[in-house]
Amino acid sequence: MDIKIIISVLFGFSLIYLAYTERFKSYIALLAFQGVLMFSFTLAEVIKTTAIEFIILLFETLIFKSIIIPILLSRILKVTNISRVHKHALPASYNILFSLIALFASITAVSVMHINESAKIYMITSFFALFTGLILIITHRLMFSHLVGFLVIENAAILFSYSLTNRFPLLINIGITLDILITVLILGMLLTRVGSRYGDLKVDRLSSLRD
Amino acid sequence: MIVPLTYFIISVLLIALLNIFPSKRIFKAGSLIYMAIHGLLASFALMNKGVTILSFFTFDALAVLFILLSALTGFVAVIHSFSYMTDETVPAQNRFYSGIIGLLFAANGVYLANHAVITWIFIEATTIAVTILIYHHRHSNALEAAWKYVFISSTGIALAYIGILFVGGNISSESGSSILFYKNMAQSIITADPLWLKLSFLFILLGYSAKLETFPLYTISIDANYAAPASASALMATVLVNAGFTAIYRIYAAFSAHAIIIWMNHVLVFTGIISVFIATAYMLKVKNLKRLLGYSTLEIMGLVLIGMGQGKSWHYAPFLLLVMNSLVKSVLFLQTGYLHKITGTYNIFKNKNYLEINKWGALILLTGFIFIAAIPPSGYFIAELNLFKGLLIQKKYIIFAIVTIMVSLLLFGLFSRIFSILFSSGENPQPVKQNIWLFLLQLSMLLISMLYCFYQIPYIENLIADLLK
Repeated sequence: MDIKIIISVLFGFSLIYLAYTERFKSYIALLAFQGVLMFSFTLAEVIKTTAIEFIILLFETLIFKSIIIPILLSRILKVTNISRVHKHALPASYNILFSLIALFASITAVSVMHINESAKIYMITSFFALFTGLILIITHRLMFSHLVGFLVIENAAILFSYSLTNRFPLLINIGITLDILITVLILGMLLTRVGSRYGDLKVDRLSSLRD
Repeated sequence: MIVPLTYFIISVLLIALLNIFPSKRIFKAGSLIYMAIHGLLASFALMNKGVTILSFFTFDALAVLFILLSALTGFVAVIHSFSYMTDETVPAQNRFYSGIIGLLFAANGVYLANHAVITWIFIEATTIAVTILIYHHRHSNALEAAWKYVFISSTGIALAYIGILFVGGNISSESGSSILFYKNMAQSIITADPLWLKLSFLFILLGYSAKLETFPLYTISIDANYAAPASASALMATVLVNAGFTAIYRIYAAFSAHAIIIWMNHVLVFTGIISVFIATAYMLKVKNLKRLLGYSTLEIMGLVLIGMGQGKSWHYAPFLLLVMNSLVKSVLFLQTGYLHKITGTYNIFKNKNYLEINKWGALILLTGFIFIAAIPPSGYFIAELNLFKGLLIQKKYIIFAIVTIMVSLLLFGLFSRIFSILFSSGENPQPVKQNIWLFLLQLSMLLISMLYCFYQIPYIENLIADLLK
């Protein structure tokens, strides 16, 4: 079987597990695993990349997504002292159901689009990651889950970049890496401030701005 | 070439300098130096229309127009900041001035970028600058607004990025990202798959709507306008909105050679109508003056989208609306900040008898509200007259009727609130002396808007004419 298909399927499983699990440590481990998988995509396409592009991608996926981001997220967990999703969040069974619907929607969306056969599996994974990120944001009540949802959407963006372009343009990769780094730093800082001000990270705390 | 390079380098150095040597004198001097080089950039733009520098930045008509406006509104906002920031601590001023320079710098980058990814990077940079400004006061409302802004805006920008990838991957299989130069995109678009282009446009419109302050991500901008200091809100409602417009317009212009142009126009009109509808509904119930101004921006941007959706030959109205919004909305936010400094509240119904308290400030508020209501002699009047004329000539009677009804209702909300602030009787109003220089600055911006009702400035007209070609 093609290595790229195996990587895509593993990425899909990591997304389904993300919907199922309720422990934040598992979220971080899964994000790190997705970073490794994305680096594997790079390795599978290594012939098409230049040396500089390869180094940037190595940094973006393996070092940044699998090491730096998980360390930052672990620190946030430590400071805010949370470990599981909110007890009023949707039960895992519902999340799996949504996840499967998202997978079905991704397959349907890709089947009606004019895409190369070789890129289809990437595209399904990309759409699935996008929908999973959105589901995490919509169905969860703790801000940490929202941050994880955002990172899954960013992973979807990188997967789209892999599947839609023959190469990995340097400019795009530098841009998205900077974007994620700065956003996670700012969100992490604000998240810890919310935690210290309100004592927890429930989204309901942030609802005083109304007309 | 030297001027834009100097601008880019000195802007970055100034932000660094402000953080390395924090002192109130350095902040003032740094801001003035920044405005001087921003003015230089605007002069360069005036004389070098069409020039491209460093491959990725082009001084086209849209960039020149918006750089001129950002220089003007930026200068007025910075001068006002000197007065508003006097009581603030050194770290607070440090954050504020760094944020203001960062926002103006990033917005200019968006105006000048001729490549979709460069636009996207500078749009992301505006998010960072705006977050610093929103969280300036450090209270719980500021924290809430900052979290929502950075989270929703970043998610939106990630979606816009996916939209950009849809274009890049669909148009050509050639390597690299040269296809994402707007010029190349426009040339290669005709053969592209319409489904991909539609998806791409939807993602980009959705993602950048947080910056343009339109449906669906407008809510974070309203909160941001409320939580940030008034002079920062003045820039967010003008300079930042223009940046959001630029990011969407460049894609719209590049796609317009394709048959999906009709579909894109329908989407813009639909989004515009929803935006005006939401603005109307909230302006009839809102109690906070800064939020009222935020909803007014939502209404104006809704009208801009409706105007864009009428087709290129009717784009004069939306461009003029953007010019007027930059001139008038910035003044209204600045005067609102002055009002807050005197009365200590933005609550419309707690602010009474402003006419007695500060008659010159009240004059600015009243004139500004008359202007955003598009009542002559406002420049908005010319813009909205053109917009409604376009709708009638194209026999879009239903859209005309819907928008007219909503705008009429909205005027009621607008004037009932401003009259309450100006004329309702309060307890023993203590007159306050308005700073004459700030008053003159605000008045001059309103006079430029008024001038446009009688005399259309040829240079601005030529820039807009260039955009209509």
